[in-house]
Amino acid sequence: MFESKGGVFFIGGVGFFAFAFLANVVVPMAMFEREVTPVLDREMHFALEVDEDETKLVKRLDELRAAHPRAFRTHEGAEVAVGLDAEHRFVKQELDKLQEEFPDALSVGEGAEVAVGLVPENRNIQKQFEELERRYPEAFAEHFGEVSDETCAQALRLGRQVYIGEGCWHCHSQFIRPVSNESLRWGSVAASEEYDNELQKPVLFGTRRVGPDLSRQGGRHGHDWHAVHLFEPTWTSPGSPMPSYPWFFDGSPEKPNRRGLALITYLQWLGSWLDEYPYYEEFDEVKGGQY
Amino acid sequence: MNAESSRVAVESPGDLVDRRLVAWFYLAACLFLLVSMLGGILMALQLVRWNPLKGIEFLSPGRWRMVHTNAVAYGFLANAFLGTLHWAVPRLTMKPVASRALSYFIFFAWQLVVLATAGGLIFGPSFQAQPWLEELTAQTQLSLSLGAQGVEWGETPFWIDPVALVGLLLVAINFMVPVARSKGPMYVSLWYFVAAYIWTILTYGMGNLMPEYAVAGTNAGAITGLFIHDLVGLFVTPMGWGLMYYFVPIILQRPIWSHGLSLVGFWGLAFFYPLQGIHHFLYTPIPMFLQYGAVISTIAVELVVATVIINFVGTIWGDGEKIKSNLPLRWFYCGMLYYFITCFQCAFQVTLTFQKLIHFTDWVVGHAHLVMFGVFSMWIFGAMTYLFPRLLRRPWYSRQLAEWHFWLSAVGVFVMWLDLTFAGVFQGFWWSSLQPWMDSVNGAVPFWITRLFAGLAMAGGFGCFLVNLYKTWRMPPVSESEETMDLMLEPATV
Repeated sequence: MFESKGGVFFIGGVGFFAFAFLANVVVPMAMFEREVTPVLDREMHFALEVDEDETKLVKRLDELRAAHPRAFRTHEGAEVAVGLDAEHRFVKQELDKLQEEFPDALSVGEGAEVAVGLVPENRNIQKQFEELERRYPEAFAEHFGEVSDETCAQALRLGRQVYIGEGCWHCHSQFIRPVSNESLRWGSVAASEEYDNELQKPVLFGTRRVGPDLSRQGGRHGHDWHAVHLFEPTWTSPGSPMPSYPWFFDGSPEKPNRRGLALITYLQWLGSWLDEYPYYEEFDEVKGGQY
Repeated sequence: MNAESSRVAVESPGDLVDRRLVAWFYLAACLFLLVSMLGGILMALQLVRWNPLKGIEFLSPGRWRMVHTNAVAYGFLANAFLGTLHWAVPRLTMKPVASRALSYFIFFAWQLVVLATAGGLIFGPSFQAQPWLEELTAQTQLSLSLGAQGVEWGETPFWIDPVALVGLLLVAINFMVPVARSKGPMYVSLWYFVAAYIWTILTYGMGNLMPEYAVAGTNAGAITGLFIHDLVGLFVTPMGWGLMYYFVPIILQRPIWSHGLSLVGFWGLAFFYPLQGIHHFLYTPIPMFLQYGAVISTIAVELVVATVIINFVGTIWGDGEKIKSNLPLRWFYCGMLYYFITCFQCAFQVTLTFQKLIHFTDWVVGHAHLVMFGVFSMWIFGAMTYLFPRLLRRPWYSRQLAEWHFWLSAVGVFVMWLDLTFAGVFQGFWWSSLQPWMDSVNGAVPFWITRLFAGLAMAGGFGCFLVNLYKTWRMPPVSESEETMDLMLEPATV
């Protein structure tokens, strides 16, 4: 077996790879089975009203929730059933059956389309995007038109692509470790659920820091600072070895183009989901320095 | 090779090899290594703030850094391995590859893959703001990038991934057919090659498809770690060791010291190596028991590495003088010394204690250069030094240039490794002591300047090799017989 063609190919080649795949890929996926939040999507929501005294109904609903956890959500304070894809349509049918069975105790409301995702559920990034429109009205009107969930989602998606394509992630990480005083410098330690979204597909942890970590960068600097910094990094950070990116601008940092506006939006988004946004160091010596 | 299979052989092994194709693969490898070195120098110049080509979009150091790493992995190493496999596999199996036409097709298809990757990395980001592409990204909710994708070494733009996968499958078929047709037990080298064919496909597919399309967040991190690690461990490493097991006994004219140790080496690598990927992302939100598992299996593989090194030291024992005169042998054994150093270093740096300090620093960059250049590139230079005279049917033009190539490369990469390792320790302490960030950048500049010159030395050594190759190619062929090709290996003859 150890020297035969079949042994080497099937046990060494396929088998051991499969074992490692099971241990390092399937196990974490099974542990962290979570929904990937899109940047912007639309869902049908059906408002639910349940008479809690009907124990039989409550029990049946609990079973349904346990079997299809993703089909139920709290929206504007009330529980709703969510529906668009096949699983959720099945849940809707089950709910309709229950409604027939318990007409007085359960009511399933009319469906309403609701915007969900990183943009509609995050007021911080909406504000930043509005601020960007006020700061660069002409460039913004030319490249994105007007402020809306749709244009903000476009900016975030394109900004992420620019961030990857230009290789930003090779010198800037996006996770805070619980060691080396990193949480003093940058803010709260990275948590798994922060990364369960469309913009972390593929995940941008990074493996090298020439420049600082960026996962809590959003809100710390104004759009102006970012524009100037991208146009010529040494103007804001003397001695910085960061390359300059004049191609995000139409000639001057006053006129960012579509890629520039998108990248600034993306940078301001980083960390915007946290309560502490924007994060400033508590450590005085650090605060006194350039960073 | 057992008695039965050598009786069956009717052709001379030399006739089974298409020398022209091996030479083409080698030339393509040299070309891409040159491109990669230029990219590396550009990034090194940027870090020390001397970039003379500042603000030029298509020469952006960020994009060229990715060309640097991808050109090494897919342009240099893959081409050089494919060339050497075309030489070694027919000789080990006494059968030709499945199809010579397929070999040529693979050659052209693979150059297309490498060039398209480079083109995508350099030009793709400039055209990312296309309405149709943004609409497609919004509809699919996927990272459809014309340029790089956000996985190290998996930057290959999404429209090339399927082509590259088909190419790797064809490579596996082309080389598995002679293995399947051969009789008797397989030689050590073939264990490594056979496993590497299937590992490379699985690894490439996993890393280039799953984090981009199927999995997000922390889980994608686990897969990314596995991918960047397996590309070294399951593609480059088995190819490299397979070649060592092939070339070293041939040059020394004696068998490998211990067959039992080579079994331990292969199966230890096959079992432990794939389990280590997560050690690239320690202290992330990936479950802690998986991080511990990755650390332990990494330390375990260093013990396996020690058995392989012992086996090769045992093989040359008593004949050590030969590395003075025999250049290919010197390349190989110097690479093995560096391999032992990197693996020894790895057993320490992989622990959580070291990671606290050195993760994200230049320490890791130094480690990567010692592995990819100090070990595998040096082995390939050794194989090229050994094979080019046989491919071109003429001895090397100059022994001196070949010596310069060796010493500039060997010293250059060692200096770079030492320098970046120290830089990493300093950076780690500056960061954890909460110095202003720019202090860690300014403090690193002397190290980066040293690294620039170490890199220039490595590039200069390769320049000597290219000049030597050109001059050799311009000389008239001297002989059809292989024995005379070893002329340059003895100092008296030059």
